[in-house]
Amino acid sequence: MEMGTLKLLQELQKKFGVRSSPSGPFGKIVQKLLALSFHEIGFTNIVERGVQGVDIDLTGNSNQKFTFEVKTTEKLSISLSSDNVDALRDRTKDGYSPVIAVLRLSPLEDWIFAKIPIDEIPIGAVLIESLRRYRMKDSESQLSTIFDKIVQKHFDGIIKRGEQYLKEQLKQAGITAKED
Amino acid sequence: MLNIKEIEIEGFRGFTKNTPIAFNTPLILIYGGNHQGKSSVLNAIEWCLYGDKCLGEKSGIRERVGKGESAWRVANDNTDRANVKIKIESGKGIFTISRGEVKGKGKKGKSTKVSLPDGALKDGDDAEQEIARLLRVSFRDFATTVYQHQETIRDFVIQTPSERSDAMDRLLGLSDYRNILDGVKNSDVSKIQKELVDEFSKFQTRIDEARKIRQKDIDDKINEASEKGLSDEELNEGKLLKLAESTIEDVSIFAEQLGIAATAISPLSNWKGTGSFVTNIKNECDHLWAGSPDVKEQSEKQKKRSEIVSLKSQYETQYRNFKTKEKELQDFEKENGNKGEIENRIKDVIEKIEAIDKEIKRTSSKAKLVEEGISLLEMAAPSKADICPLCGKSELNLLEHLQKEWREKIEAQVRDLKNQKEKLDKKKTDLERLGKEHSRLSHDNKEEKNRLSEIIGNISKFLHKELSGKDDPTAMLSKEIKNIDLRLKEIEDAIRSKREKIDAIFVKTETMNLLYEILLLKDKLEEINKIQKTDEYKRQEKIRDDVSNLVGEIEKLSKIIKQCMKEEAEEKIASARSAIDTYFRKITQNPGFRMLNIRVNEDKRTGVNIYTFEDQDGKDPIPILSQGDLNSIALSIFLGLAKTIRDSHPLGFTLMDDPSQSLDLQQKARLVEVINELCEMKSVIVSTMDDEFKQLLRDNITKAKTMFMFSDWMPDSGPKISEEI
Repeated sequence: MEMGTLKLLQELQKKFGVRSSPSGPFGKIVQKLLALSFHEIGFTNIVERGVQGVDIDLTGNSNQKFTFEVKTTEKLSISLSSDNVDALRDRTKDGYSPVIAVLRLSPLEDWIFAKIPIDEIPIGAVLIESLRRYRMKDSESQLSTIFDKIVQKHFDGIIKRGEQYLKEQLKQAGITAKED
Repeated sequence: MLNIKEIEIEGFRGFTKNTPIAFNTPLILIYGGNHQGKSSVLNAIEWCLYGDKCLGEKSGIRERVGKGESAWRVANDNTDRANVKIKIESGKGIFTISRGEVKGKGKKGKSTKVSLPDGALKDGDDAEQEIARLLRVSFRDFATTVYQHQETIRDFVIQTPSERSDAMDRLLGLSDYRNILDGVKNSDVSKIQKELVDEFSKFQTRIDEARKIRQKDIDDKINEASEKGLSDEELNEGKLLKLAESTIEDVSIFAEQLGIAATAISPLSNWKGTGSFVTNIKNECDHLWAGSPDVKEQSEKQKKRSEIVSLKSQYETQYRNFKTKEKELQDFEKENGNKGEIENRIKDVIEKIEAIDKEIKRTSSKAKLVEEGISLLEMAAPSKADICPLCGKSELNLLEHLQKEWREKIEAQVRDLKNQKEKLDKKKTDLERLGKEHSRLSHDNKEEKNRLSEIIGNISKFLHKELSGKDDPTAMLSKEIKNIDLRLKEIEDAIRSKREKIDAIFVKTETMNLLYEILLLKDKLEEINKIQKTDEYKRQEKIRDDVSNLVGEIEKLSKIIKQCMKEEAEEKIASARSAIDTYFRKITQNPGFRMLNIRVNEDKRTGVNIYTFEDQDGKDPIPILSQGDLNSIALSIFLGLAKTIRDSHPLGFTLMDDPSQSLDLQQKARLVEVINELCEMKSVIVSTMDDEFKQLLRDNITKAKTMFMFSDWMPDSGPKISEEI
């Protein structure tokens, strides 16, 4: 992630972030930006959920289906609840591979997409570093520059209109957004 | 079946001198108090058969773990060597196994020997292989199904539930797994990973601090740019290059207006060249400015004005000096006369002095004659005292007369003349001083006048006009200054518009500098992004990936070990369940228990085995079991496993160390019954300090038995062993 992107995300976090709740508005904003980035690099059948359950479902080029639990943090670890894991497990029934997507808001950090066998997903505090061994490096590097561009492209819109702006962008991109 | 027929122990643990003990009956009972060497006999059998395998952490026996002083030592402290020899009877004949260890510097060493039934002798590795072929049972199985150690029961009885699970693992021979898991835990790879992350996180914090400082600088500059009317969209290289282009155009137009050929300025190709571009523009502006006719004239006029002001100042100062000196001379002459008058007065005084000198001379001649006459008369004979020695005239009382005349007339006259002369000399000196003072004043006056003339000459030259005494140079120069000032005013008005054009160019160059600074700061910020593309960064990424993979592999390994540990425990318990249950009910005969079942679960936190016990109703009986019952469970597991594995190895003996601890009398009696049954199939070697138990064994074992009484143990001689009938 470029320093410029980090700065913009920190500004968004300042405006929309709820520190005590990773699923607060800022978390949902980053999740939607990620969904838009996936769309930009060619993933299809993208479903973004602002409701309980997994955060993003999508289908890759080789028709492989992935289901994402998205986490944004400033810390060195994330917290995975049994609800998170149960939601991912539920999607595996439909042939989705579970992926934990983590973005640490710190310089020199990028998205980590950890494709973990469902039974190996730990519950509780998980050191982000421990997810490295499950990384989908190709997808990560493919997404990295796109994500920078997506953040820069939509920053002003989000600042002005918040999450609603992104919902409209998702709709325009043909991404299914499920809200509560 | 293999049976021990005899053991010889020398220098091993509690033994010092060579001590042979024969095992000729199905039951061997070793009885005695604490610290009499009983356990050393069983330990000696184990060590002789398995050597180093039964020592240290790998033995899975707690008391054998330890280093240095706390180590479990093979050799007796009072001997320099330990030797144990066992004669084992097999279907093929007698095998004699000897194991030795020598202590001390230079002699240290271990030896293993086996004497085969055919007389052949093997030693070293060959002997070890021969022993393994003979026994066909691993040390782990031996320690859990042949040799019932004291501590397996002791730990089971007195430890906490988690430690009881540990004891269960050891009872089941699973301590190797535990050791590996401890090793994995102690390797602390996760800790290394955490340290790695922490270090990187510190680096990130430093980067973030640097980024924030740079961002603050950028924000300040952006605010400055905003105050100058630049929008955020204009803060880029494109805007900077456009400004540079229009600046070159401005300079060109300016040069044209001045009618001066402008020097060609290279266009700015990228923002990084802004510094030298701006310098070139400024230099060119300075050059054009200096070449402008107005500016040239302004410069000349300013120079001329400066010279006139200087001349005027010089003239005024010199004029004042001259007038001062002139007045001084006038005042002097007014008081003392002019030069001629002073000189005449000096002349008069000189003449007077000369006249007095003559009078003095005349008077002195006369005085000289009188003086000579007096002198001669004073020297003459009294008869001639009245005759003048000079003229020969005779006069009465001539000497007295002459002396009176000398005193009263001549002396007074000379004194008076001398006084007059002295006064005239002083007057002459005063007049001469006045003359000199006049000369000085005249000279000074002349000097000042010359200087003034010189300055007037300079002014004449500067003004190109011969000045006469009627001219007032000050007024003339003031008029000249006024004229220059008027012209300068005209020039200043004429060049103001040109100055404004140059200022406008300079405003553009300042904006360019500001844009340059913003772009430079952004570029520096961008440098941080480049860190991720460096080889060093990629290397650290790889290291972190490798460590993460290693941690993952170790976690997998731990998981597999835990799984194997659980499976093996389940398997062993499943195969021995019936026997364990039977032995337990037989020994305890607790009417409340009709069944004992053992389940193996995984500790959710640590992943290691955790054992739960269930009665016939599926309830955990442990909280209500006595220590004797717990001992019975441990014994039942040992006996159950021993029974299950019995057919898989040829060992025809069982070793039991203090098996009756915590049992009540009835339980001891029932254990004796179990041992009696065991003696039907194997020989049993039991070590005990329990008098009650000994008595029960002696009275109730229906097989032949030998009882060795161990007593009076001394450090240098070992135990005293007597065979009880």
